[in-house]
Parts: sequence; structure tokens; C-alpha cells
Amino acid sequence: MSKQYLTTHTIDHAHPTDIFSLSTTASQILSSSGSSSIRVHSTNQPDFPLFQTLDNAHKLGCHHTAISTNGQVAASVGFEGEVKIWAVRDDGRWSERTKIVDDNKAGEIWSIALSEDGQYLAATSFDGRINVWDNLADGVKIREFETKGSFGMSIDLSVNGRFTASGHENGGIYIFNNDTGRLFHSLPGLVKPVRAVAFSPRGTLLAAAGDSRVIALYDVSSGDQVATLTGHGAWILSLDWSDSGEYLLSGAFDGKVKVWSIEQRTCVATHRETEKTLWSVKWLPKTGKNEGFATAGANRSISFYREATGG
Amino acid sequence: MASYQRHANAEVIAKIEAIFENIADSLLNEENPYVPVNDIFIPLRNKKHTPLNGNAPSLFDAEPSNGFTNVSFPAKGRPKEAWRFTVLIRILDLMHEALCDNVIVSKRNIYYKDPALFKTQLTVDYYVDIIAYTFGVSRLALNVTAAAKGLVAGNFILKRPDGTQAYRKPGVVCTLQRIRNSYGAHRSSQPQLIDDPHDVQAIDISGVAWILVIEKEVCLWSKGVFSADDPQSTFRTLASSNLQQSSRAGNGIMLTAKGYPDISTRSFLRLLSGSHDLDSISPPIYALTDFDPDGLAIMSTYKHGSFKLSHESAGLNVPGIQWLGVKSQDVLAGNGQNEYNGLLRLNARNRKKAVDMLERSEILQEGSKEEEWRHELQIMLMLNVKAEMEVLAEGEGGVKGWVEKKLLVNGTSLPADEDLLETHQLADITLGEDRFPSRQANEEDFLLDTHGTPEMSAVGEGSPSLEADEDLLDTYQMADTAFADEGSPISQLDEDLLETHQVGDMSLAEEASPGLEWDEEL
Repeated sequence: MSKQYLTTHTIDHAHPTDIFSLSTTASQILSSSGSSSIRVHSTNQPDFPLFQTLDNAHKLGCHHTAISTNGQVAASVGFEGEVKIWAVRDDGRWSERTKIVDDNKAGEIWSIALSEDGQYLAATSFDGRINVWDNLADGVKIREFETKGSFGMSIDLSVNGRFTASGHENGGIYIFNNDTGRLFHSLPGLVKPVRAVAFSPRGTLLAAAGDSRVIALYDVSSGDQVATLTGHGAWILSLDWSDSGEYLLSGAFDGKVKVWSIEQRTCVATHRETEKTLWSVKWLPKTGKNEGFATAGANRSISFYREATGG
Repeated sequence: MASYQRHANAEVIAKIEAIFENIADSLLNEENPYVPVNDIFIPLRNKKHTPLNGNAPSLFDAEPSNGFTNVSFPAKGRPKEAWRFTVLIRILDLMHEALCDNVIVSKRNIYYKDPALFKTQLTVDYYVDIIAYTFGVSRLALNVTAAAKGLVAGNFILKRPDGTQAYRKPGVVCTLQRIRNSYGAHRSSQPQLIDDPHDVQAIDISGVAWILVIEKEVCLWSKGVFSADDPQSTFRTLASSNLQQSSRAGNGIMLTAKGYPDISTRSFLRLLSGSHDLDSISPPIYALTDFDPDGLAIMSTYKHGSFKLSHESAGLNVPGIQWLGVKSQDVLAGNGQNEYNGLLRLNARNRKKAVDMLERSEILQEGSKEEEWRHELQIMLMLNVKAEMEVLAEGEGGVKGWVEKKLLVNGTSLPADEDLLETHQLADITLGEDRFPSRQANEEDFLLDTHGTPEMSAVGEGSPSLEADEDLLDTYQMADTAFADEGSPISQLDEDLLETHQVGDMSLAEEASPGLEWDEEL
């Protein structure tokens, strides 16, 4: 059963250069790009107005952002390798709280994820290490997981905080147990670069995708691959689970965004507004009964989609 | 092995052939029980020990010694010696070939003939110098240059300050032949080494529709795409396909410094860029580079100067350079879909270089001159990909077809007025002498009978001190590390020899920092 989504709004030229990352809260969407500022747009108004600009967040551009599930803490990482931790105030405005710099010079902080309450930040490095910092304790590094040294291109933390998953350039995918600090599973990987990993909301499934153009679903507890979602014709750069865990959103190099039904293991919607790369796709909070999502990438705009009703 | 042609370097050829003949004789006598097994050898002259007192222990500084050490084959109990023997045979063979064909090869060329054997560039550098020392000749007499940097091909006439035309001194690396297809005077698709700009008063570039700066001559061999034995040369491929003379985009000039440009090449390009007729505009100048951080850094050096010292050599900048490619759109269009089509992964050095450039280069800052370059560097980092310009060879029409198409798209056209060609006034552009204080010394370094240290002559191709760039030093050091990572080839070298060599390298680097520019090639 396919679903229909309509474009409800597009923020043209949201950034002067490629938009690399989107992160959402209940009422906001944060976007980062090759330019130095991070922009915050309100998602609870029909015209998605610009709410705040975090100027000079990252001088060289900002390639990844993350927001804690509770919406209180954001993190951003720039091409210079520095992570900034942002806290939201009561009026919804963000301010910089602290910085985290990997003290190991061989490393380079790349992909990031925040724990549910924003206390912990997990990040990958070029040399394949996975580090976890405690934001409350002045950014002290509390975990360092070693892998085989392949570039860690993607990372996620499970909502319950128990697991860290990382996807690597050599196709490797790892799940670490944060409680024990040990490797939990080394998954049968994808051979090619894994550019996105994402835990399902309940933490039972892990989705991984990248240059192999398929999405692999793994059972977190057993480590078994339980499904392969095929249909993308280009590198998959971004994955996001809907709040209910029913749907998975994926964005690809060729500008296509797909919605996958987890129950049916099939693609239920494909949209393409542009042939330009989609660097990031994200579900939006539900308004009423309708799911919606946002996409952004090389065309420098942010597009908003809503499920068509009454069909 | 025997050559029946007569050459200026006949003496050296004879010396090489004598070595091979001795070996052949020994092989023929193999079954003769009275000939000892170790009779197959190459004699190398012993270098007098130079105390490590900080002076450069150059091979040529040392007093000639009468003692010889034989590198034998087989050498029982000395496994490294078999490798040394093989290396020497290979280098001698390549030198012999270069001498017989009367072409000049660089140490870098030699290395790329057999990287698997040589392991590192240092091996070639070291043994080339040892052979020169053994023969009692300069390295240039072996037709080997440290690294002949600039090459140029195309339609132009050089005028020298003394009123003579450009001419070719035998064996001197810095001459440039007059190349011009009109009048049938010289029609050559052979790229020429770039002239020392001090010897050029003016360049007649009438009829030139475009100037193309190409990043490199010889591609680095890359996994599976090009074998190491068959290094393809973008510059030579384009030159021999006569792109500069028969292109649909009109006549043009192609130029390469084979990597990071030296002062001479930059001066020459600068001269070209200002050589158009006074009442016309300069032909467009394009750059063709790899899609990687070094490609952009090299283009940036031509256009804006070296990253750190841009203010010091601003007089050599050619700000009108436009980037022809290779850009992300050129290599990524078909990607994301099928296989990698020549895409390579960035290594740690590439990433560091990209970040350093983004961080430190003024022109790459937000809202600054080169937003497109900034964007391209970010895309490389995001996807962790790079591509060499050789990927263009895969497309229809090859590299030439691709370049032609791009030239046409960019609106290059022939100068309209034919009359202008006849009455063309040579722009009198001379470079200030004071900017090149070491000119005399440089010229001496090129002379064959000068026993300058080999590295110094390479350095001498540019003026010292302008280009000392810590960036490059960093890169060089990291590149060295990368070599070492590839199966620790250094361990295969005779450690004594290597140590001496490294000491030599280091003191040279201290003495003559401009060498770094050249060393980048390593």
C-alpha cells in the first residue's frame, strides 16, 4: 500500500551553500551547511519562519548536527573538528554551552549522536574510534571504543542509551554496549561505505545504509540481519525512523527520498524534487494524524512534506 | 644494449655498456669452474667518509676516492645486496635508454618505472647520485634531472633579451624550443622544458585562443586503474594529441609544473598571461587539476600564490585563472549509482590538507574569492572521495575530447582579427632582476660541467626562499610516513646508505629551504 506525500512548503536558499544536516525538536528544525551559521526555523507555523541564526557556529562549515530526544540539547560539529554543545532556553532560543575537542590529534570528530537527555555525546573519528563524552561533567571523555581503523562515517545512540552503533567506510557496522563498554555485535556489514545508521525508537532494530544502495535491518539483540530494503538507485546518505517505528525515511545522492514500511518491508513512497544530492532527511513531529518530513541538500533549500489525507 | 648512434654522451653510454658487458661475460663464463661465483658485480666508487659536522655530506663535496665497492650477485649471506644489484641494473638500463634516445628523465620518472622494486623515491635518488659519482660525471650528464619541473607546448615565439630567438642548448634542461606551426618553422608536439624567465624578454602569443595549466605530467598510479609500469601522462597525452594545435577550440598553449609549481613555471605563466596584444584581452587561462585537495592547492599556488606566503610572491600570481576541472560534478555525476568510476578515498593526509586549507587560506573563507573551491573541498570531506584527472580518459573522446568540450563551453574562440597577427607587437615584459638575486648561481647549476650538488640544481630552478612553506614541509613529512606505511620498504634499504642519504637530505633542506617546493613531489 503506497502512501502519498505532498510538498507543503519550501524554504528557498535556507543556506548559501549545500545543507549537510537537519535536526528537529517538537517545534523547530535546525539546519547546518557549508556556511558558518546554523539556522533554526519554527516548524509549528505554516510558513516555517526563521526563528534564530547561530552565527559563526563553525567557521569552516558544519557537517553534522544532533538534538537530544527530549529536545533540550543540540550538538554541532564543524569541518575544523570541533563540537559545540548548545542548550535551549525557555523562550526556545539556543545558546552555546560548551565545546568538545578530541584531544587525540590523529582523530577527527565526524559523525555525532546525543543521548535521550543530551547528557552523552557519541562521535566517530576518521581513524575509526568511537568516543563518548559526558556533557554534564564538562565534556569528559568516558568511553573510547576501538574498531578496525576504518573511517567512522555514521553513528547513533539507542533511545534507552544502552547501545552505540557505528557505520564505517569499509562497510563495517558495530554495536557497542555502553553499560559494559564492550563490543556487543560486529554485524555482517555492507562491504561499501556505511553512511547512515539509525536505531528504531524502541531500540530493537538497527537500520544501516550507504554506498551499497540498500538498507539493511538488524535485530539489535541477536545481531542478525532481518531484512534488506532495496529500491534506491544511488548512495544512501541519510536515515530516520518515525516516532512510532512504523516507517523509515531515507535520502539519497540522486535526490530521491523514500518512505519504507517496516511491517511490509517495502517502499511505500518515493519523492524527488531535485536531482541534487539530499544530504539529510528527517521526520517532523506529527500534526494531528499526519506524518510529515523535511529534506535538504545540495539545492540549498529545505522542503517540507505532509502525508496527503482523505485519499 | 649496444647503441650504434653517436651521442654527446657517448662516454657515459660506453661506461654503462662496459658494466653490462662485464656482467654478460661473467654469465657466459658461468660454467667455467675457475671463475668465482661473485664475479657478477657492479663497481661503485667509495665515497670518502664525511664527518657529520653539519656540512652537507653531498657526494660531490667529497673528494673523489679511488676505492671501489662491488655490488655483487649473488651475494651469499647478504640478501639485501641482490636487491641493490637489481636496483642498480634497472637504473642503469633506464639511464642507458634515456641517453641513447637523447631524452632527459627525472628521478621521479625512474621511480615510477618500477615502484615495486624501488620501494621509495629515496632509493632512486640515492643510487642515481652514486652512479654519477662512480662515473665521475654530474647527474645531468646521465640525462637525469632531479625533477625537471615545467613543461610547455603550444603556439608562441620566445624573444630573448639579446635579440636572439629561443634556441636549444644541448643537454641543458632550461631551454625551450621555438614552437610554432604557422610558417612551418617548428612544428612540434613535443613538450619543451620551460625556459628560465630571465632569458625571456617577451613572448609572442598571437593566435593563441587559450592557455591551459595542467596539474601534472605523470599520474600517480592508482589501484587497478593504471598500472605502475605504464604511467600515463595527461600532459603528454594532450600534447601528443596536438590539443594545442588542432583543437576545435583553437590554438593554445599547455603548461605544467608537474605538481606544485616552481618559481620558473609561475613566472613563465605570468609572462604568458601578460603577453597579449595591448589592445586585446588575454586569452583565457584555465587550470586542469585532480579533484583532490592538492589539486586545488596547486591551482591556488598559480593563481594566488602559496597559501602561507602569498604576499611575498604576489608578483607571480595569475589571478585570471579559471578552473576547468576536475570538479565534483565531473566525477560524481555517474556515481552514487553504479560503481566507483575511478573515485578514490581520501587518506588522512588528504583530509588534513583539506581542513588546513579551509582553515588557513584567506581565499577559502566564507564570502571570499574562491567559494566554489571551498564548496568542493567540503564535498570531498563529506563523501570522503577524490579523483584524478585520468578518470576523464574513460569518457568519450578521452581527456582531449573532454578538455575541448570544456574549452568550447567556456566560450574560447580564436582571435577574430587576422591582421593583428601580422602586426603583433611583442609586449616587452621583463621581470625585475632584483626579485631573482640568485639568477647567476641558478644558471651555473644547470651547466653540465658544474659539480653542484644535484639537489641544489633542482632547487636552482626557482629563486630560493620565496617558496619556503611550512605547509609543504608538513605534507612532505607526512608523505614520507605514507611511504613507510606501505610495507615498511625502508627496512629493505641498506641502512647505512639510507642513513647517510637522509642526513644529506636533511642538511640540504636546512640549507636550501626552497627545495621543499620540489620535494612536494615526493
